[in-house]
Amino acid sequence: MAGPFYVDDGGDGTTENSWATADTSINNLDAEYAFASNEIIYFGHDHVCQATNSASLTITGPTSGAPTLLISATQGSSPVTYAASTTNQIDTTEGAYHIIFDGSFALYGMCMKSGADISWQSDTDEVFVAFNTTFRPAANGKIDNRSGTYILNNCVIDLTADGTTNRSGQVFEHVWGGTSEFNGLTFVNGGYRTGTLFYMTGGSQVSLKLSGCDFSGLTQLATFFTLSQPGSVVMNNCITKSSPTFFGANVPARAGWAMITNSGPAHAPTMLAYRNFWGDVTSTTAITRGSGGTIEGTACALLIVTYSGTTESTPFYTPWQHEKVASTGSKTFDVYITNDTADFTDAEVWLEIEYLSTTDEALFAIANDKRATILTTAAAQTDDTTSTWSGTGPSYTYKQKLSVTATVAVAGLFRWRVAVAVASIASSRYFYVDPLVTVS
Amino acid sequence: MAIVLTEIESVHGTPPQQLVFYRCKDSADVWHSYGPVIVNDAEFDKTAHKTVVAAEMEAMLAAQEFAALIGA
Repeated sequence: MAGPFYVDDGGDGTTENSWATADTSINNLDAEYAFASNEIIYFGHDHVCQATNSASLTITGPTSGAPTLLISATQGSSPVTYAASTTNQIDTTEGAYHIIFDGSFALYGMCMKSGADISWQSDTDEVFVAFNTTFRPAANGKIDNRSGTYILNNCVIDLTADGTTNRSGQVFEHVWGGTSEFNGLTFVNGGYRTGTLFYMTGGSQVSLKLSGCDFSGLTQLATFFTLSQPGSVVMNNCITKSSPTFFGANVPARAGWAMITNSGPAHAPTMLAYRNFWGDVTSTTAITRGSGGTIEGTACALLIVTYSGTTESTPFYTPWQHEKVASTGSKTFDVYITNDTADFTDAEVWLEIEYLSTTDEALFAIANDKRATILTTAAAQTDDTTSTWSGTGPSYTYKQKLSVTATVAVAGLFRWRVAVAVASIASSRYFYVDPLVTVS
Repeated sequence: MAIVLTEIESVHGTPPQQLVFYRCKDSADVWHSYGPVIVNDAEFDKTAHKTVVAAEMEAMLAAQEFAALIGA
């Protein structure tokens, strides 16, 4: 392993092993050395890239294993001390030239500006991680990534190049899968992006996790995600503009799903948006059932929409909700629903419970109020004659109760979900599930 | 594929807390659903937002057509 190497606009480019002998661009260094795992490249914190690019820049790292480290440090410091940069330490703005990272890299406090996109092209056995790093794509440019592992902590996406002109291009494009986790992401000048934030394409089995990100500056964003591909999206505790649209029109492929919780302009523990190939669950505080489900004291209900692929064999399932049962014995689990079109039968909508059925074992058993067999004549679910629902929009014409009885052998954790086997339930059916399960 | 009509499919709740769903008809007379917009702002103009929805829908359909062309 060689290094550490130095890149600084004040260096003489001779031996690259000190600030004085630093290369004046990553271009020169990469041309001379093949970067290996755990090698370190120090960049002066105020270094301005001195390369003159005439094409896209590919920075090549190790093809597997641990990354090469690019660390922004106080120029001239000895011992070297970390200092995040605001200058363009890597710069390809001479033309419409991309910055491409190909291999395993770890960036600390770096700052870069691209004449086009910034492309993270790690393969499945490569990683790209960045801490406190600023990425500046070109006007209408994007960040795209491939099939590797990508972790960003407290990084900045600087869209200053957009100026004050509306730009319809997506900010992130996930191509051919990859596992991405972004924590504490922030944006500069995000108010002129009018399209999609995260665009998945190319059959990508992407896994995307977002936590603690500030999307509030993206004030004209139309949609957060396109979900036409397989893969998963989990987003929690992020701040957004007011009245966000997370999913838009796209439905993921069969293996795809997305779950958004407590994300919006304000703290909202009731907030849930979930989508998969078969349907949607969206929570709202605007529709509630009297004495029904609450989250941290705020009442809410779950709107269900389904898509054309939903059948009794392949129903839409709401996400599992975990609860506790206080004692053993025969228990009845009730969940209340309403819709405006017609009663549901036990071949169309049913409740599923998983519970601890055997003493001293962690084994779950499953019980439901679906029709007894696939060939049993379907029967209407029980009418609910006592509930009062509130909120403008629905008529609450068909109120019903889903009910499962099971013998609980171990007090403690159980979980429940609602299965929906009716295809193409539109939002205008006003099909709501109360998120409270009553145990008696 | 152009969008020829955009409608509000359903509205749930009253301002400031609402869910708003849209649907768009394309030039082949196929309907596409969009949303929900999770409204939490009393100033949200759900009628004006139809323009945004139509643009997003056209972009989505164009992307789907391109993907089909290249066999993606």
